[in-house]
Amino acid sequence: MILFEEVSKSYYTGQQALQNISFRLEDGEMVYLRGRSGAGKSSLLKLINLVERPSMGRIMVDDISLGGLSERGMQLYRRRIGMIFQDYRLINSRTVYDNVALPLVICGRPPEEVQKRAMASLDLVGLLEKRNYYPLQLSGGEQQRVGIARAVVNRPRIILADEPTGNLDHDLSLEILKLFLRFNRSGVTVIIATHDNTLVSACPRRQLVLESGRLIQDIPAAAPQAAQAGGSAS
Amino acid sequence: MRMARRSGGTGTFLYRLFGRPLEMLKSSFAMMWRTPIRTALTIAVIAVSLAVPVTLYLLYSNATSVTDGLHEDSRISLYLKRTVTEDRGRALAESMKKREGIKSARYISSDEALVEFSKTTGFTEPIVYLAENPLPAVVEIIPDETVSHSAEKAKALLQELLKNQLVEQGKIDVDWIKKLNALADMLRTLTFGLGVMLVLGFILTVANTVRIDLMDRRDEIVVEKLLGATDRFIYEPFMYTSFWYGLLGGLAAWWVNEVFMVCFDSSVQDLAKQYTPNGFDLAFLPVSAAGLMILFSIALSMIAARTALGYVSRSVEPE
Repeated sequence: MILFEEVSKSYYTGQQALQNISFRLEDGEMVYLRGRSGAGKSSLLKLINLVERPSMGRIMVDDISLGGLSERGMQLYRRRIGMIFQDYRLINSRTVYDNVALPLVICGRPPEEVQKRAMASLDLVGLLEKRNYYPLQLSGGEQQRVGIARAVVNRPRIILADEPTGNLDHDLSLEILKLFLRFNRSGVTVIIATHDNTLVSACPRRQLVLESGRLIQDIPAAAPQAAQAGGSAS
Repeated sequence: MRMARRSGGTGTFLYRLFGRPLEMLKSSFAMMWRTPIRTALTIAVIAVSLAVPVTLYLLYSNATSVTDGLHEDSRISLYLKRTVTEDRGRALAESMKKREGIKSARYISSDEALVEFSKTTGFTEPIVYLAENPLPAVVEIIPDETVSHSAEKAKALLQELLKNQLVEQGKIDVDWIKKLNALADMLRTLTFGLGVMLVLGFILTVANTVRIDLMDRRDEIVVEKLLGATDRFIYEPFMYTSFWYGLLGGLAAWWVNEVFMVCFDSSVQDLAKQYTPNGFDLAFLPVSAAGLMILFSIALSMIAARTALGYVSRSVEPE
């Protein structure tokens, strides 16, 4: 469960990224965060991943108040979150395998387990054959799949995806979306920040629509048409 | 949500104890040589920073061993009154041997003194024409180490000995002891001062290299932090790299020192053969001391790296 209670975030520059945001996500939900560029989607994800701390309000994740987490607590918490980025954030000096295995190495898993799970994760995204490649030898879609394999290798309870299909064409975007659906079906909570309407219409789910840092609409999964309208309105 | 799952088992424990450090040693060594010029320069600076004070200290030790021998030449000559018979002179020498601060005492009669004088100076004929032997009997005293290393103590001993009724006058050349000691002190101070400055240079060089290494890998560290890496995990490769810097720098310092000493040795032998047929055994850095120097180098390098990491890694945070 993810709970936002009147959360606001302002930066030291004075920019108000989020204002008075409140919502609740249940375990195993898949949600789109929608809104124009600068609406606050990335800021919201950063608050969940503790890259930023809220200026006001409270964030709870599975009965843990994120505001009260220590440095060590934050590190342990981040290990349970799978984060996917628009720019992939892969380490170009390491192979695909090493990139995917990194979260397990960070957790101090023994080599046999690291190998087994990293291979399984690469197999899941269809990149087992390219495990010895370096990220820059791969296409954009493949790099994003490496990012996804890395995000899920530690079996997270929550996946946060920040514009995961932003640099991909339509077909590749749908391919990536299928992966998210697969994870979601296995009980993982998935939050996708996107401004890609085709992605949302291809697989309607609950939508949180942001505008200028405010949550202007919370559209349930059962109302795909309204979602479209909300998306275009933002 | 469970915050962490404890991965237990003997395999994990053994891996953390041996497997991971070995992996890190290998990967950090490889990482160092991705920037060969920076690495080579860092190792060279460490080598020079250690080799210079160590070599100076060795030279100081060698010089001290030479001057320790010279201190034995800081003998006191007591010229006896002409009225003193040979028996009384010999008795005086025997009694002086028992005094504190005196290593040995030898009576030299006026005839023996004349023979020695003739031998050392080659003036034989003019002395033959003299009506009588002009040289007095002498008691030659060699002070022990507690006195011979200090000009003040040697002077004080002479003053004591001059109080004896049989002694006409006494002589000791203490100025050269003072000069020698001052020179030795200066070399020691120079070694220490230079050592401190170079060690400081060593620390700053390693810290700066680690800082640059860390900034080069900024993006990688940001990703690791986003994935929940601890500071220890992030510092680990840099700490292992600093271990290599220290080890290789220490070994290079040893090599530089050996090369210098070998070159210096031939010059010393040439000089020493002018004074003694046996030459002079120049003391090289013992293996145990070299080992200590390398350990010191590793420890210092790792301390410098850890300090730099503590400051710099705080500026690398996910945005």
